[in-house]
Amino acid sequence: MMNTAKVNASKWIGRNIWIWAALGSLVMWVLIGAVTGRMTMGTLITNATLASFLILLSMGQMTVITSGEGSIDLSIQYTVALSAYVSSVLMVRMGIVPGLIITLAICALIGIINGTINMYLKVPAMITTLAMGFIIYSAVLMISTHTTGMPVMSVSFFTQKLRVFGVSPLNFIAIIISVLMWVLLYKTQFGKHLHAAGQNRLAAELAGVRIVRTVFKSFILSSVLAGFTGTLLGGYFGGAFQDMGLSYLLTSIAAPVIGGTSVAGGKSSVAGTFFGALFLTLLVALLNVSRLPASAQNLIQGGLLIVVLVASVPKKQTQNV
Amino acid sequence: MENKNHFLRLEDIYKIFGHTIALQGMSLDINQGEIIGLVGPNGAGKSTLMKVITGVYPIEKGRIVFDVEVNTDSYDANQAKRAGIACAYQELSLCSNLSVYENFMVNHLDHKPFGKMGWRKEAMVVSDEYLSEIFPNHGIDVKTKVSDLSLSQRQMVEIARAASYKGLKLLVLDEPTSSLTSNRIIQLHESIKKLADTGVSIIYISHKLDEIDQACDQVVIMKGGSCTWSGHISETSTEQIVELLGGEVKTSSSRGEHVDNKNDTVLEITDLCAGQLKNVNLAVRKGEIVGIAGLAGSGQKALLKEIYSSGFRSKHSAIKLKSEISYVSGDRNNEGVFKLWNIKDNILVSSLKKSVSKGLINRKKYDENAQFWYDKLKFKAEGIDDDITSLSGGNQQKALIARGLANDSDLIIMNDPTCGVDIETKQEIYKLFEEAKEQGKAVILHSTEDLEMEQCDRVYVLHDGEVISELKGAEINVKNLVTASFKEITGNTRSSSSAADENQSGIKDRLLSLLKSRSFLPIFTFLLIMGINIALKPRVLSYNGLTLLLGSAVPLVFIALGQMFLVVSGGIDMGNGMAVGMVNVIVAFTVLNTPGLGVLFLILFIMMYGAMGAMIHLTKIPAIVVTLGASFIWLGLGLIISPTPGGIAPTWLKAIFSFKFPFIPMPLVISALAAFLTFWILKRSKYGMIINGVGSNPAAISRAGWSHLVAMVVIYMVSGLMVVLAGLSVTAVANGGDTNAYANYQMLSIATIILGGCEFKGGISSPVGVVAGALAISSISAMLTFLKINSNLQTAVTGFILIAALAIKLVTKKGEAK
Repeated sequence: MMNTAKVNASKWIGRNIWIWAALGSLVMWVLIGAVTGRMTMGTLITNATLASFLILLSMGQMTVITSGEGSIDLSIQYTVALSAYVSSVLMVRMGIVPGLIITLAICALIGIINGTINMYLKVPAMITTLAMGFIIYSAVLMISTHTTGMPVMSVSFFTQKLRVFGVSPLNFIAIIISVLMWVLLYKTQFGKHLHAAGQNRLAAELAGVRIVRTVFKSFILSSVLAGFTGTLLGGYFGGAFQDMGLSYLLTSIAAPVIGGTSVAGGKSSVAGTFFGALFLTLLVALLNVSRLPASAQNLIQGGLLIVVLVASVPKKQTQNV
Repeated sequence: MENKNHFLRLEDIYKIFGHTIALQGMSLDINQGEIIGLVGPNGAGKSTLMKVITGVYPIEKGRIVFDVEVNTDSYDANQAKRAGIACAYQELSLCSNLSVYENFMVNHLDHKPFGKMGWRKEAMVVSDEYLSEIFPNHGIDVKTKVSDLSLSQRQMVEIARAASYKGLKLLVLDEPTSSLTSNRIIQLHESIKKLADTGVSIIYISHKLDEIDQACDQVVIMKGGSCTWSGHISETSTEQIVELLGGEVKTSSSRGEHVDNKNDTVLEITDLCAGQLKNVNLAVRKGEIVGIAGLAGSGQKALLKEIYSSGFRSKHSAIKLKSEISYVSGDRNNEGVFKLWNIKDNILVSSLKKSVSKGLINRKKYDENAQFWYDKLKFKAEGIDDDITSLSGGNQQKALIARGLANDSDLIIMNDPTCGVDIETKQEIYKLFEEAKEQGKAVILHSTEDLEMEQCDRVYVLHDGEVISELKGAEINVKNLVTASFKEITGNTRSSSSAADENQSGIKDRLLSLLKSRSFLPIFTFLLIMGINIALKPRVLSYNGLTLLLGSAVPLVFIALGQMFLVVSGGIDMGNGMAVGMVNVIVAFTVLNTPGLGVLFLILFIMMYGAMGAMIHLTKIPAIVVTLGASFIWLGLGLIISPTPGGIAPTWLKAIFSFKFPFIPMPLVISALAAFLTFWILKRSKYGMIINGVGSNPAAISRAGWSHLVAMVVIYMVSGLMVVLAGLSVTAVANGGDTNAYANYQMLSIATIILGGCEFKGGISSPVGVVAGALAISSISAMLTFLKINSNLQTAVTGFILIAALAIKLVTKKGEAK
């Protein structure tokens, strides 16, 4: 009896790797409490708010990674900055909703271009999005000479000041998007097709999966989520700046991987990505309150990241040599 | 019985993979100078047995006895090699990015890192001799890259390489003739008989019973992981072997009784020409099983793929398809199974629509649908939630067949659906064919077993991409199929025509090969940009002008070369920008005052890179993840050395960079030296061969006895060395240190190597191209300034050049395919 319970428990954990990221977040929160001497819900919520941006970005990144073939979207960091600038300009001129829609449409176009280059020019996703990122970055540099990227009042109020039940609405957005992503990835045909393509593109194609369509959707989703994040982030910072997406490049890849997403594709975890992003944000917060010098903070962050990543990547069972 | 000296005896061997028992009490006696034919259905455990003999797989139970019994726990590939065992593998263990002679040398050379002067020339001669020994007049240029060889040539190399092993006692040939032409097969049989006369034992695994009959002394029949019969070839006959294999298949009664009715046509192909296929005409009607037969490699698979892809987009007007289409493959690993999924997901992936209500997958419906197929096909498992990989091959195949049936297509392509499936499951699968037929579905069946064609109502026989014969109803039997397949083969035009193609190399071809050279594109881009620069500002062409313009390129040259080494090994460095920053501050802050400490730091850094390589190899974590994490560590270490920018470049370093080399500007001299050095390492040195091999086929390198781990550490340390050189250059250029300043080199280095002609799939490098690419990318900003274009567009231009370069590459590669 004991044994089967044990086996079942370990099976359950094997299927739900996100639990480690959630536990890690909890530990970070407790440690922050220990360092500052105050253990409050407040620190958790503040950091969760901060993590919202990373959560949204990582969800898109996760989708691209899950499509397989070593795909990674390196353009999202630039898309974030672009959309922060574009949305601020458009919202001033044409109002919030049309401005947002057009911004997201531009981002969707970026995703479509990524998909086109990747699928039809057969350029690996990493290079495609890298080249695309270079191009977007130039656009950002051009735009930034003409505008400061100041968000409209209501957007900055929404992202900075507004509280719903005492909590920033960003948290609700992060949760809602995560739930939607969960439905999309595990309850729809697209989700199944995405995971099939990620495991084995040839087999997926032979099973009737439209690879091109599926990959396009993953790029579009990633770009649009990056655009949405950029818009919110511009509001949160009270202005856009050229390198505002830079710090998210590494973390947007690390968060899904920590949460159990396979870099090889075909395996994702929405909950894992959610908690992975939260964990990374809390880790930075802990290092900040620790008052260690920046050098030590980076060392610890890098070391911990490697350890966590090593622990969270399942060991391949190689049967054939 | 003759009394021969025994070489190797296997007793009661067990080998288990997860839930499948691959070998179950297998015993085998091998005497010196004996040719043993090993036959058995797919999945009988033949290949597993060979991997046990060659020490690739450790065994669970059993005895391995040479002159003395060996300890089965410590028996490994090296010990097998020392005992004189060599194997030509079915899945070909060649490194496709290496040349033919290098593939020989991977096995033949000692494991010292450097060879003698001129070892390559010698190696070419020796390799050519080895090939001639087995295949006289082989017609293969040993300098050719394996990727440029035809499948049959590759197989020749694979066999000759195994046979050339020094101290050979036992040669294992696993399906050696699957892509050989008939005269090469005759050569092979003669050669192995000669080998056997010298006392070498040979295990000859083949499905082709006539070959076993011609080539072997002894026959061993395997089924279900153990030996079911063994004896001298004269004691048995082909028919008897077929019977022993249990290959007797009941033929269906209803076949061939179809009434011709044009309205029922599901698929009609008229005059299809595509790739290998020539003027194919065929029609498939409802309620019919149509076979596609012929000798292996006659275009059957190409035809199936063409038919299937016509269901997606009508590429050819030649194919008229009047229904949905589904595909069932017997190549479960590559074309079928989704390994991370359970049975349920694997079955339903093709028919998700049926489980959807209101746009979402309804869990209950989903489970019910899966259960329906699970019960119908009588899976041997605990339930629909079992992982697919926990099933036996036969049950995995059932899931794939269920997948093909589940989406209600009227046309189902079955590509070798009973490959490696036991007799019982086979019969069940045949029953499903009948059922599908009764429901009015059409099945296109291709099989590597001719016997299976007896399931068909009609069979089209292909030869060299053409339909040469159509058999109907009772005409369909193995004998007729074989006769039909071999029709027209007497002239053997295929091999001679391809040989003629190889010899045609005119000026046009040479020009084309220049265009296709990996370093052409980056050099051309560099010259183009320089051309524009010089046209706009002629002063650029002066000694000082070039020094100024290209001075900033040197760091990128080195960091891109470092990136190249990692990409060659199949990885990628996402932390090299930060690493350069760290080296930069080490040089700027410590080397000047405490040179000893600085040098120690740099050596430690290179060792850390090596450790990273070891870690990536040992933990199997993707390089991208590890290097990402490492970037934080580099940043942290850099900040410890100096939290703020500052420092100064040592004078000797500045002196090197500002050295007035006669006529050629120093940056170009350094770049050329870097290109030469890395070119020598990767393309000329002996260990470079291993580095390239590891990127393409690490298993082959390991089998040859080289350590994969050591190779990884060496590759990463060389990469680390390049980062150090890059760090030295940035210090000289900036005359100071700033750990944060070079993060953008990370992305640029990837862009550079791609422009330079490297590829992500590993094993493909182009040192000269990468250096030219670095010079090109560094000259972009000057060009924009001269053109009076907003310098903000610099990164966009880099992006466009990158995409354009890859698009051009795609076009030239297409030319290659034709």
